[in-house]
Amino acid sequence: MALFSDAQRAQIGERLAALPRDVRLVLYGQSLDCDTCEETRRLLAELAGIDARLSLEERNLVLDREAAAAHGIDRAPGLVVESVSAPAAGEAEAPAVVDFGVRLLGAPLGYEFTSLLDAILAVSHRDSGLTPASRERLATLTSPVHIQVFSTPT
Amino acid sequence: VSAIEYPDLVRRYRVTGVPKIVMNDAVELLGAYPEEAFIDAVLKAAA
Repeated sequence: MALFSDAQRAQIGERLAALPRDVRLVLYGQSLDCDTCEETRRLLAELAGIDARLSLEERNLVLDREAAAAHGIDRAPGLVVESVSAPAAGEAEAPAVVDFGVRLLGAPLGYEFTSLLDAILAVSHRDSGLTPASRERLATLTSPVHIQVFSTPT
Repeated sequence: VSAIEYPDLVRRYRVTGVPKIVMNDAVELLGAYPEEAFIDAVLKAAA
């Protein structure tokens, strides 16, 4: 049975309309000790089916250990949201894949599904949405900052 | 990070409410703040 109703699919399609660049979702799951991996996999597969600019790559946290480590994923379900493909019109040549370090750990259900859509939009636009003043202040950073946001689906 | 699925992380970072933000395991914010406060926190975490 489909997870999204036709109305929800239409709404999501509208939200994702005109993504400037493709977005690749890389899901790390595992078959044991993961209550939400299967539901997450189905949800993301359906989501990827809504817009041609979205793709889903499924990996196994245990079997694809090296790739998971390279992505900084040590839990399932762990999701990488990265920007792929050619630069948008008027932009200089850009690398094929840009990883901004956006990760979602845990099933993107409830309000977290909205966070996932927000992440997809930001990554596709390659734009944080921050004010010019904030960008200027962040430009002074010389080392990476690991930011974890804890949230619940309700 | 789901605060429901990973009780070990919830314990480690003392997540008593959401949204809780932890930067570089050093700076913590609980609740909503204006953008400027987040930037302050990022710079403090990097220092």
